Amino acid sequence: MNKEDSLQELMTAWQQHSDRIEQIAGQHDLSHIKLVPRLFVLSSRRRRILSSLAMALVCLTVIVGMVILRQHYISDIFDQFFFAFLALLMVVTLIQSLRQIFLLRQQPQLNFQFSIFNSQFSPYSRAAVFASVVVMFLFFAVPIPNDRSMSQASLSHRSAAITNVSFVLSNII
Amino acid sequence: MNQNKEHIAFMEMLRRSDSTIFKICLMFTDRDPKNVKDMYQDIVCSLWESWPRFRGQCKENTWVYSIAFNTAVSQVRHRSLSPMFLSLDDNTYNYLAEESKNSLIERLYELIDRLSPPDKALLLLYLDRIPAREMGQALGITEAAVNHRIERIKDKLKTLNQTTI
Repeated sequence: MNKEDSLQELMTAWQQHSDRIEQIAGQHDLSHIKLVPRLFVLSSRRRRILSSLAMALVCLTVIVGMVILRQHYISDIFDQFFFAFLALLMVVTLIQSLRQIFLLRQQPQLNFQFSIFNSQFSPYSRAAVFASVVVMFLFFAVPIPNDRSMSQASLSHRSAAITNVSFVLSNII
Repeated sequence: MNQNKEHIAFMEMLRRSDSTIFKICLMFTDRDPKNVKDMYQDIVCSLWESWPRFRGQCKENTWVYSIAFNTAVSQVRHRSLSPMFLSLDDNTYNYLAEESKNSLIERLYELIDRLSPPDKALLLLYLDRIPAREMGQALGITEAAVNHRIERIKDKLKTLNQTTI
């Protein structure tokens, strides 16, 4: 059987099935449907906006909390690192929510996922991976002004710190 | 008054597109009445939400396909959390489930279930004899990409058909 025959068989079966579905749809009682104001329709895009904003708010709350608590403890490199991570995560989630707000006004289209990275990971995992990569870059490249400056830390010191943070991140994701 | 007109226009559109939505629900679920009903509800929510933005930029049916596919694919990826605001009659969903129990149709769905969500969407449009240009509009891809992908799906179906016999 060649591919045209195989598809022809499929199309004939589908045509009969399709006709039956149309008959059933014709008898479908739509008077049961009660539409509510759009504001209450929580579509997946609106859910994404809300969860992005919620995540950004959590980051902001933790940053503010840390600033207050800082009066009571000595800041170290992890503290700085955590700050940078939270700030970046907050920025990424805010950008994500702004993008979703913009997309909300666009005609939705099916997103053909050609990229394995995009199809395998959720937007938050992608945001977390992106934030981690940026933080890692900053961690290696930018000296943090502190008593224990990163520029003075050895490479093994930095690698150990990154391993610890990666472990924490993988647990969170 | 305007709201009432909009409501009526939407319900008329829904009446015209009901069978299209059912076909998408059957293709993207396991044909369980409860799951079909959930997906139908999600698609109607999305259509209702997007309805004010539909300004005839494409055919109504093409617009319905694009919104419904988008909703179905995202529901397949992430479980739906839509509020249960539609009161739907169960009989229709039971009839649809019964209709899908025919042995030939079950076999058809068995093959379709092995395709990826974008391929399923394209196959449904192809089976519904939608022109390639409109398929492209509904899926946001070019006509050439539609034709190329259709050929790939045909090859896939042929292989699947041979391996499952």
